Amino acid sequence: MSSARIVLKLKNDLGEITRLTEELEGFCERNGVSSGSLMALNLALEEIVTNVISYGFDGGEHEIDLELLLADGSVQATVADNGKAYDPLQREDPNVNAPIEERRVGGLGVLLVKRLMDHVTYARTGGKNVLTIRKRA
Amino acid sequence: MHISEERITEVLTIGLKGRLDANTSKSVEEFLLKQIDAGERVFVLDLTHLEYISSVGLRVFMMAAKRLKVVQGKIVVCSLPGPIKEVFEISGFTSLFAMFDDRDAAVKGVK
Repeated sequence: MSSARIVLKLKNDLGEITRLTEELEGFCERNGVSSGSLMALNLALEEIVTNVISYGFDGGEHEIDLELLLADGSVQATVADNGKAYDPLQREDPNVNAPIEERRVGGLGVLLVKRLMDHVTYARTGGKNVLTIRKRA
Repeated sequence: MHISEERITEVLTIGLKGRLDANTSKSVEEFLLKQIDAGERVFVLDLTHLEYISSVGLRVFMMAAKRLKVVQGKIVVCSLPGPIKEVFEISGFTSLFAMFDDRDAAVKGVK
């Protein structure tokens, strides 16, 4: 069983999402991750990192740590930031069965992360938010 | 993101090719809203070549559907790749957008 790992440091700048996507695509291509799992991981990481960059800090420059790990046939991604303590998994899910007039335009990101991934955990450790997601390769 | 359009009588079919994400959603949203403002009412979105969608992209579809609902318009989707279909299902979009297997069926079905 093959294993691989990359570590990235992202700035709290939304322009970094493009770099994140390129790195993830490269990692998945090199390691034979299916295109469906790549899309799910891309979506989940875009949601998580966008939320951290948009709401996690009160200004200033910050670094967000991203680790991608392939082991036991799954890709595990860990996002760690030193922003405000926030567990996105506690957020209430939107009602996706509501009629169109009552549906909010946004708010689907975290629900998609939870449902598309095989495993999602949040921890606040060492002054950091640490979100770990896992998806079968 | 490449946007193509084809009109068959009153049905405007829009093909989206590429990634619908934070970088491209704005242009697709502007394109769709401009068509609605210009009086278009019946839309088919052909997603055969849609490689990726994030929640920002879903917002665009939701916005268009809400706008069309107000003016008694219609919007359906066709040819969803598997991963895109899964995202639609999780988001409850299957009850907002009728889904068709291909463009011909969608154009017939939307009328």
